[in-house]
Amino acid sequence: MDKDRIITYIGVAAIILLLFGLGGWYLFLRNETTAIEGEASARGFAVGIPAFLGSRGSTAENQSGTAENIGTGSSAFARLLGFGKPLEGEKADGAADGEAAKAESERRAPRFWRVTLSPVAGASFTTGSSTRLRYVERASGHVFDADPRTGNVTRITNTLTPRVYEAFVGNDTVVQRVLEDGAPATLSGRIGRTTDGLAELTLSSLGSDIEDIVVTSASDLLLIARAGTARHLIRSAWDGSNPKQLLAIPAGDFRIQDAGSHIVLVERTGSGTPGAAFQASSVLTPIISNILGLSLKAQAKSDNILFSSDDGTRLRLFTKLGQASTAEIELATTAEKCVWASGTRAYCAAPRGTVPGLFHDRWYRGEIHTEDNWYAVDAAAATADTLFTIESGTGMDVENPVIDPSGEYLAFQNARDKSLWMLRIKE
Amino acid sequence: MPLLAHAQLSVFFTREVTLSLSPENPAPGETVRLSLASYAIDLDRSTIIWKANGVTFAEGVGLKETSIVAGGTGSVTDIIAEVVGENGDNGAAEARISPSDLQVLWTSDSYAPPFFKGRKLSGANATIHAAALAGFTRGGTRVPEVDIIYTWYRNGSVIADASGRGKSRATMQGPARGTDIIRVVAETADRTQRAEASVPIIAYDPRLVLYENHPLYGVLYHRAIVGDVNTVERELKVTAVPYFARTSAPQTLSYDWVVNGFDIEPNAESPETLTLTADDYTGPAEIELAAMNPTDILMRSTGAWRIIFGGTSGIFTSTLFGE
Repeated sequence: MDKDRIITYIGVAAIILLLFGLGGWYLFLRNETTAIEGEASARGFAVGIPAFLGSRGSTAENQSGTAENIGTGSSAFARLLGFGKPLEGEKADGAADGEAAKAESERRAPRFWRVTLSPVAGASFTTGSSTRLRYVERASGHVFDADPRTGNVTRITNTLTPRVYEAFVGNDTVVQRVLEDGAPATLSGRIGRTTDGLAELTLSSLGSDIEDIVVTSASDLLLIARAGTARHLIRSAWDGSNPKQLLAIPAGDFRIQDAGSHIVLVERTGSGTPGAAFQASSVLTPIISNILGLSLKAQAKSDNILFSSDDGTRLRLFTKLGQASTAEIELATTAEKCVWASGTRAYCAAPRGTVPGLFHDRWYRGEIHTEDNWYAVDAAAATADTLFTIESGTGMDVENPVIDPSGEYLAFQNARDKSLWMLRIKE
Repeated sequence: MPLLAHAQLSVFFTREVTLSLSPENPAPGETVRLSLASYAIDLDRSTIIWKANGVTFAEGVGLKETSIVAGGTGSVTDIIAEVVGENGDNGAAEARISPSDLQVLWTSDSYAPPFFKGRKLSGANATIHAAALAGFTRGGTRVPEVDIIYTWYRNGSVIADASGRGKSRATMQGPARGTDIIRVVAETADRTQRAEASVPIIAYDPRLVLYENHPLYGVLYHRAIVGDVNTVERELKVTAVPYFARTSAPQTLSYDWVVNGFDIEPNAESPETLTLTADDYTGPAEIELAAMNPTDILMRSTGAWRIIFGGTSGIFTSTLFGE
């Protein structure tokens, strides 16, 4: 009897100790989680590193979940992130009768929408039956699709590539640029087919000598490869196979633009340094030359260009339509913040206030950032009108702008934190 | 008789009016901006008539600036600007546009980090690789390089070793300080076509820029550490980038790190990267760095930054714009 009682006491004491232990462990974990989240949110990206909210730790679930959570906040950012109702008479893609369709049709991305909470390496719109903004996450190399109408974000690949510094996106082709042992490496892959929602991205290495690369509208690659002091312009299939050298250039530093009907090479920009742009075929034919701090955007399938000069003290933007004369646009910005639409329409982000001297040199080094607004440019009239004024304090330094094929949406990164944003052109 | 095919600018000024072209040596098909200036005539109230080869292409009161597209290779366009002042003061200026299809491309062996979008500017004493691209044509086909004589100049002096028939490329040392003007004159062997072009090569002092080296995102090249920054991290890895240093890789330089007055032994494998561990310390970490090239005593660059551990706000929250 005494023995049973002792065993009972010991059992009860053990259970009580266990409960205390579990309680203490819970409190410890809670404090640690709070501390970790506190540090994460203060990492300086203006947003925290997303916590794993999804049931399987999915970044994709984090994306949609946290975006909506933040959208209900009260900060300036939160107001930009909130999801709105469809405009009168507007209906979401594929909306049909039924509760699910009704709920979907009521969800609508805001006009100025922060697509991601974490830095991205690159993004582009895909062409097809419906518009999608496809982007590559910088931390993981995962590929996501964002629906610009509904604001739905879906992760579509499950191949991990840590720390992707740059990415270029075609319809099914993705190029990722990473550092391997400190040296740049370029990887290219095609998104496979999938039945469970996540596809494998099989990447091929294109080597370490690639200076610049673009994915063409035909999903092949145009690249500049370094060979000693020379540069070779090469076209290849998406995986680097069937390379064809288009041109060998004995010296120079260039960036490529695929203008659809032709290839444009632009000398890399330095503030106050003369630059030139060329149409590249079997020879280099000058498009424009001797422009200080030249930056240029060529319109696809046309001879129209927007270009800017940076003489070290100020930025000036110009347009040249075909063989017509050059006209200056009263907008102090770099052509890198511009994107062509159809006809003679273009859209440019331009800094508020005075632009610091040696802009390109310091901007490329990440030493300065701008706060931009968006403008609609009529290149034929050489005029610019305000398209969208970004709320002051948002710190939007536009880079890598792209426009969707229908001309409804602009997407761009914020150079401060590499976040991805989208702007619906019509209100 | 030799054709005048080079980018010659022949400006015959009246006493009152000057005409300038930009660029002075346009390429074929390039837009040339024409600007008038005068201290003797009020151009804003004058009627200005612009003529190209005798044909009026622009006219207006106060039209001091206009532009014209240069013709093709070998073409000559004579520009005349006639000024009729409101008080009967007249003036005129002339210029000739003779497009030069000669481009000078160059690159330097200075260092810039991976994926740097800008130009690799010429650090002091950097090696410059230049190439001249002449667009001479004969009978509709390009004149081969071996039929062109190239003469390279640096600040007006011929670079004899680099010049000669077919020598379209030149390798030279960039300036240690200031600016060198590299000029090249290309002329066909039969002297029927000639063009010249020049580029300034400016010597830039190497510049040390410090970046956070983030465990998830890598080196944050898009966001330099500028001035004072706060962080609530307890450990922070930073990487210094020696922009435009005369080196092929940053690891080949030697780095002297000093934090709060204490010398820090650099990491052997990546001396350009430093890990700051604060533990319980709160306060500033005063970082000083000197980078040197052991084989080039002229290459030395320094920088100083202040990272405040335990700050109330996150790193880089201060505006970096227009500092």
